[in-house]
Amino acid sequence: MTALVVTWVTAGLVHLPPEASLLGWRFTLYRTLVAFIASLIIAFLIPALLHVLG
Amino acid sequence: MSSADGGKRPAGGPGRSGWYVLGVAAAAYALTGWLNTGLVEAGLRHFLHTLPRLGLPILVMFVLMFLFDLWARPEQVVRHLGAGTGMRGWLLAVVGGVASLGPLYLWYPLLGRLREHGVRHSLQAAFLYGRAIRIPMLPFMVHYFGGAYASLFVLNILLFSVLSGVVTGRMLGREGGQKGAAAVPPSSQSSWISRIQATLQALYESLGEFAMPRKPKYIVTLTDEERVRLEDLTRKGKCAARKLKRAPILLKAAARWKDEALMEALDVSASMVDDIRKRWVEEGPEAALKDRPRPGQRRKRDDRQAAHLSAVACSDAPEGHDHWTLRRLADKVVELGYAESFSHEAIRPLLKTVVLKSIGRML
Repeated sequence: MTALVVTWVTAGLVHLPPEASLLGWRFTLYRTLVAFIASLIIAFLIPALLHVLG
Repeated sequence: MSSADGGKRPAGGPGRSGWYVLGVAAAAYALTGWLNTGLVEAGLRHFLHTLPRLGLPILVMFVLMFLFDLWARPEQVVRHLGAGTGMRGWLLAVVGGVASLGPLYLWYPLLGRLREHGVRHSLQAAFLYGRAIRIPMLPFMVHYFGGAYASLFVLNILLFSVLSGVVTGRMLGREGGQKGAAAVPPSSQSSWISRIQATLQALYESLGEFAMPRKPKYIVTLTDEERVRLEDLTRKGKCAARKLKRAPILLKAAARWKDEALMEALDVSASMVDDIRKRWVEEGPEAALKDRPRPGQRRKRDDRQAAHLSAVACSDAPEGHDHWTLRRLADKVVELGYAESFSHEAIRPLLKTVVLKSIGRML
């Protein structure tokens, strides 16, 4: 669920063309890739932290 | 204008690529309509239903861009969001991302305009990631998933906004307030390794900006004359590479740049900045612009000894021998009093130098 929420806002494929047309393809692809990976990390991190915090 | 991507992008808008995007969208609609007319009709109805709701965000965005173009000057933007900013720039980017309202694509034109004014890629990426926190949605998140989850979500997004900004910026190479700075393509495995190392270093330094900003021990101050001289060195570029690297450090240090921003903008290490600051304050301009003497032993042999050696080597060999050996030459040089001691191993490089110099003169 966390991964869905975060990637929805930060790494949408639909946004790629307009973002790339204004900010550049390399920036857009790198940023999306990093955002996607970060979202996966957060998706693992939050449940783990909730588990640890009880 | 050349974007950091290395491609051409006209100032103030998407240019031809915007038409491509529109063309692709129109083609997608046409293809879908050909396959399923009802689906396109439903899509258009949804679009017309959504359009009025987009009116306010679009209006707000146009007003923001109008005000930005009216008041913002490139130097002001760079001062707040360019290479010369440390923690302040990150805070502005992340808080701006969290506070930004409306659909994401409405922000692209403004971000593009900011980029043209020198805003760092890393801060733009942080801004876009920070948008994952939707303040109006937080009460719902607390209601459905609990306060602990919502708090952890917000904290993680804030942290990863900065991290993703740093990583994106590093992947794009040197950036930030330096218009036209070319990104370095990852041409080999070693460049990827060095890029990863640089990214980890940048992560460490960026986290350091939040934890404990570096406070310079030595404050660089410049007279007008010194400033003009350093600016001339930087602008003309007609001096030793080491001076060219040091002059901008001194100029930025004197302009009260934070060390973290200075290190990022000029791609120099913390120890180099510290060393140059210290030497400017303690030893003066010349010392700060030059390298420290290299460690190690001083040269034992000078040009005069080389000349003597050359003369001996060109003379007749000792009696009973038809040529000079390295040991014989070393013994002879000592015997003639040109040196107190002379290792035969030291003869070889010296002779090489002499021979090369002779060839050079002949040419």
